[in-house]
Amino acid sequence: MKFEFFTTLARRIFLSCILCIPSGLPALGQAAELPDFEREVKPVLAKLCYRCHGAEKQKGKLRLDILSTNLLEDARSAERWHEVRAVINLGEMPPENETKLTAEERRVILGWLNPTIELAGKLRQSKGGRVVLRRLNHNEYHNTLSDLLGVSLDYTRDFPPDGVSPDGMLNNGSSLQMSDIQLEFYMAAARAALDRIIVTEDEPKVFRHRFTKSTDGGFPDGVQGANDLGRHRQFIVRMKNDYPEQGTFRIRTTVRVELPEEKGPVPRLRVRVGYRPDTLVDMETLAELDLHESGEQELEFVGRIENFPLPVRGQGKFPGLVVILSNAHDEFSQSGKTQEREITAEDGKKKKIWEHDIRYPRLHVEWLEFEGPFFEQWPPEEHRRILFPSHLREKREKAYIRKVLKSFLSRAWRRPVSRKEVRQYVGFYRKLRPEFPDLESTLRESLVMALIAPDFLYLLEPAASKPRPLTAHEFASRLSYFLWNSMPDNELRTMADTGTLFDEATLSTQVTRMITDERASRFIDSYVEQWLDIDAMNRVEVDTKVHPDFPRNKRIDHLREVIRREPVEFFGEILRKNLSAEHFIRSDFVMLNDTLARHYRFDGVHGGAFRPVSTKRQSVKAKANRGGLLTQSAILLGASTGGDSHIIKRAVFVRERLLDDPPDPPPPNVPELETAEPGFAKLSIREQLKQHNNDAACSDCHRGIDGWGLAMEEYDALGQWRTEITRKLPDGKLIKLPLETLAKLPDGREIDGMEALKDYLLTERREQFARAFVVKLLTYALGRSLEFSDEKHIDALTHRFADDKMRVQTLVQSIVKSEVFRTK
Amino acid sequence: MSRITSKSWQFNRRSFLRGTGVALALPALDAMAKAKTVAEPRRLAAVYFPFGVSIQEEKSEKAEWGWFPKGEGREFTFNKSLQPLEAYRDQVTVLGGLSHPEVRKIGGHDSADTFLTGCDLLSRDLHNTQSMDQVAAEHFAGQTRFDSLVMSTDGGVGEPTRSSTLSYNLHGRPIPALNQPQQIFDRLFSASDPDTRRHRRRLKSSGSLLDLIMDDAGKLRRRLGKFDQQKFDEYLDSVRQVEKRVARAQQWIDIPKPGLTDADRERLQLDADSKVPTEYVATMYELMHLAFMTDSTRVATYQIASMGDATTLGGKFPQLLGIGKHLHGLAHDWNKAEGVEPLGKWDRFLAEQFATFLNRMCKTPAGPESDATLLDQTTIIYGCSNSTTHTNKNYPLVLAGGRGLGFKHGQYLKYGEDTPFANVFATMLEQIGVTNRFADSTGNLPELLA
Repeated sequence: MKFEFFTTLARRIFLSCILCIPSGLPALGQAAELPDFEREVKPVLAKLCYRCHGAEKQKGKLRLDILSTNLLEDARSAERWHEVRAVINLGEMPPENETKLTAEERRVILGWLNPTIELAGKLRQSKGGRVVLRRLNHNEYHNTLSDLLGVSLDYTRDFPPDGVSPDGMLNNGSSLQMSDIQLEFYMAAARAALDRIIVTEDEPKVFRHRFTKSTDGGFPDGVQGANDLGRHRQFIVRMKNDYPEQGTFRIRTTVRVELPEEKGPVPRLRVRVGYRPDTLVDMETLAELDLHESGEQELEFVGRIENFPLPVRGQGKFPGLVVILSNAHDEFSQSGKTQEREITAEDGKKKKIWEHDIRYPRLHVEWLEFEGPFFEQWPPEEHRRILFPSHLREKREKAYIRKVLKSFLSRAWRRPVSRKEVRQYVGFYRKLRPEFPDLESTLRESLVMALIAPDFLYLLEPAASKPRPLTAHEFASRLSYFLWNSMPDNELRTMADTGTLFDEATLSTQVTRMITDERASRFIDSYVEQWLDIDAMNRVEVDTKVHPDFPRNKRIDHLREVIRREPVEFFGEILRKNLSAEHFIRSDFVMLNDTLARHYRFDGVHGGAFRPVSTKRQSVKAKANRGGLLTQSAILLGASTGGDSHIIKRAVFVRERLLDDPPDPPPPNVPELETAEPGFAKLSIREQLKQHNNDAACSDCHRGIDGWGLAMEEYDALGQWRTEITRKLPDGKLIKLPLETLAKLPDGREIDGMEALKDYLLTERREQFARAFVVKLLTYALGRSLEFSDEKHIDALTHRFADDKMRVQTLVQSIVKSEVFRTK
Repeated sequence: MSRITSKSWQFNRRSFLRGTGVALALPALDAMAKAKTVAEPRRLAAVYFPFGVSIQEEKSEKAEWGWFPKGEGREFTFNKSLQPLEAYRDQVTVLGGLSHPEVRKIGGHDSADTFLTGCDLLSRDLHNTQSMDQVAAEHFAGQTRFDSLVMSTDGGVGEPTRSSTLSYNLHGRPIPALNQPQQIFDRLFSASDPDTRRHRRRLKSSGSLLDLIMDDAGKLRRRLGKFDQQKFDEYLDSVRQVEKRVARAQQWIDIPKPGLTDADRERLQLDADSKVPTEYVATMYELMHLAFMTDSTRVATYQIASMGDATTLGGKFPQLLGIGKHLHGLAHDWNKAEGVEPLGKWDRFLAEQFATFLNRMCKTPAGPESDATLLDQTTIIYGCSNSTTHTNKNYPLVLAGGRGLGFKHGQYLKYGEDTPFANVFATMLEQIGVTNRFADSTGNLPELLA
């Protein structure tokens, strides 16, 4: 076994050498030069350690000379080697009065220990290179239930959070747990959903309202009510008691748009519904859209009332159901486009009004209609989708129920169901039927059972010990959970039924269709979030002393939201247009909307929708070379302290996310970059690191880290370009430090600044980036961690990808056609 | 005070050991048996009311309506508000001056969420931390049918800063509170009331439904590979757990409720809702008492009203009781001459309800063969995270019960702001054998212990 273990390791190192490291360059990190234990490591240990931890003495009950080096098989020895690493890293061993490790000796020991520990850990986690039974995560569960039932409610509100995999993914079967509480929630969610969707009562009363004039307003945010929508005016209506609390509602409105003559800003209509006067829960936005054309237009919005914050009837501040239309176009700009002016009203009283300047895009509400519950027919569509109209229903209930169940089960379980399975469910239905008052409430229970069955909750691919090809329906599910985070639709389903989905040309067409489909945004959102850990930026609190302009009010933290969207929009653009992944490093366009354009100082971008904008359109004064992930605020803010850049976090981002080569974890008790030494806080980052790295234990690691981060110093915590650094001292004072961007990379190459870094990544690290990109996407697509047995698939995909100019959509095509994607 | 009440347990263990010939283990077991209350279940409860109390200077005209007692230490006298607790003087300790240091930073009305967690909600993007009751629940998990009973008048979780639950799980996520007596009763003891036909039906169908699922799942498992099987076992375990819960609940349908006398039934008004505060609050307390009595759970929390102002169902309790206006408004008038008495009466109403609960708890034996009372074996914290409305300091608190767990009572203790409220929780958790730390606690409070 020992032999095998090292063979695998050797193989991996061999592979790494030829695949990711361009020849002639010293290898990055650990992978390349694993010291030979017997020849190199053992002599050092013998010299320095065996006297106390050898045959004669075993201080701390540790004996190193016979400690097994097979960390995979021998978990106990692995534990001990972990301890050895820790005390060496901490400088605790050898003890003070003994001979110290030289830098070279340390390098030898850790050079062997670090990769060996890491590898053993990975191998111990091995699942034989196969996907582990995947439970739907919350996002997939929500989407699946919404698509299955045709109604999107907040199904997962009370669910406990999903587990994240070691590679940062949320769809990894090994990390997704199940618990009794979870199962009770699934049961409750299924019952609640079916209670709403399968109706037993008669057609409900429909509330219809038509408003041609706003109320005076003044609540909830003190803004004046008006038909003319502006910065301090909004169209507010409320329905005191006569509104529904369940079901779909529809809002129709006619608005008139007046655009200024020269091309410029456009109004953005925002529709908000609901209002809880007593809590922090504000109104929920139903829709927001830019209106680019002048003139009158009629618009229609549909929502589900349960998803909006409703006031509690009969309470003191009860406002009824509130609907607000507003013009959000310049809501977040700092420069006012309105002025307050005092006028004398018709009744002679003086009052203050807000006036817009001439460039203000005007929006006037003619009327608004509310209707709810809104349905075309009764029972509503979603009910009829399950309990379809049929003459069988009255005459032959059993036959009818069989048809109903067969259709529902096969959709819910994403595969054909056997007669036996249907029979079992019909049997269950019939057993319950005498105890329930009607067909509908009995059926609900049968469907609840289907929705907590493993066939619904898991992506089932039953297979014994040997790998096997997926069935057509399993394949359709993998495909749709990869690209839609949800169940296959009818078209995919039909192709699985007929078996045509495996046909190469058909599959290509389907993948293109899926990526073009709106549902692909679910994949893009989730994948980008998990690949790049976008949420890091929300874990950073911006220091408003250093960045006083950053919006502080969380409730209207629009800039933060827009910053967060950028990488997602960027990935979407690259994927949908099948552009090269090189854009993630360097790009000649940026995805912007008006707010982000202001943040990055691009001119002439109007409206809230994201669109690609050429980097040439950046204001000359802005100087920053935007383009690619590394210049995006989401990434830069996430890898900052909120006050300043954090070069270690930035370096880790590059190595972990872009190069798939995360640095070794820091040793325990690693000191922060701050000491009690007076004056340390005023040193440049380079000087600070130099001091920190005086310790050999630190400098070995930091040599592989610091350079990547230093090269990104032109960008501050918010991702804005800078020429000097603002540092906040411990006493709160701000000082200025000169900007330093000259950086030495691990291979000894010196580069200066972001542009040089991009150049370097796209030339010297091109292959490595391509491989990392493949690894990340494949990990997500498969829903499992990759293992050594996947190397050949990764290699093949990487070669094709790199030869194909790294086009991303083509890579998706290659992945779904690869053997590994089609195998259980 | 040591009460060794687990005679039958000792006997059984010994005879078992003799039977199997493991005589060597006996001395150690003897030692164990001598330890205090080794076999007695230990319990924990927390009760919360919002918006603070009437606090009056000792010399003021309205001093008689001041919530905190006169005097200090063992020499204290209850004012009118807490007068109902006089009968249980040796079962309670009034705590003054305490608060959660982290919570002092946040808004007065935002603090209910943190009563049992002690964290600064607002600097954490409204994400809470695990509440102390859930630390205990986690520790006792599996020993009773329910790990905890979480109740509130409003039910659910509410919204951050206006929570309608006191309990937060390991991840700091709010645990939905139950608020309908019938529903709680059903969950604990299952229903026998024809009004819950649907529930009965569904309970029954849940049973057969889970049965069928289990059947199929067992077959499916055999078709899976090794790693899938391991994963799938989580699912099977979960189904089994839920099945057990459903089955136990079903068993209760036809089994007479344990120890429920006619008087108990009368007290238990399962149709009570928030429109009849006296009956409703009493019933919620009674459910807590019954849950402990039947050892259905070891941990319970009850939030009598939330800080949700207009939306809390408890907001209108004072009006319904005829002692004043809406609760929030009532609480705001604590310093107005005409406001003192109504608020004091509300405080007294709450104390009466609490006293009734204490009465029930100390009239019930801790176990079938126990000479300790349920109250002796339960440590209870009762209070609010506001002293007067909007003020997150000097919480009005009563620590009750748990004399069998080592607590001593009959005191009014005043603390300074340097003692975090979490020290009380640390002490409670330590006495029930869970842990000796919680949140920002700096130690336990020996003066609470015998």
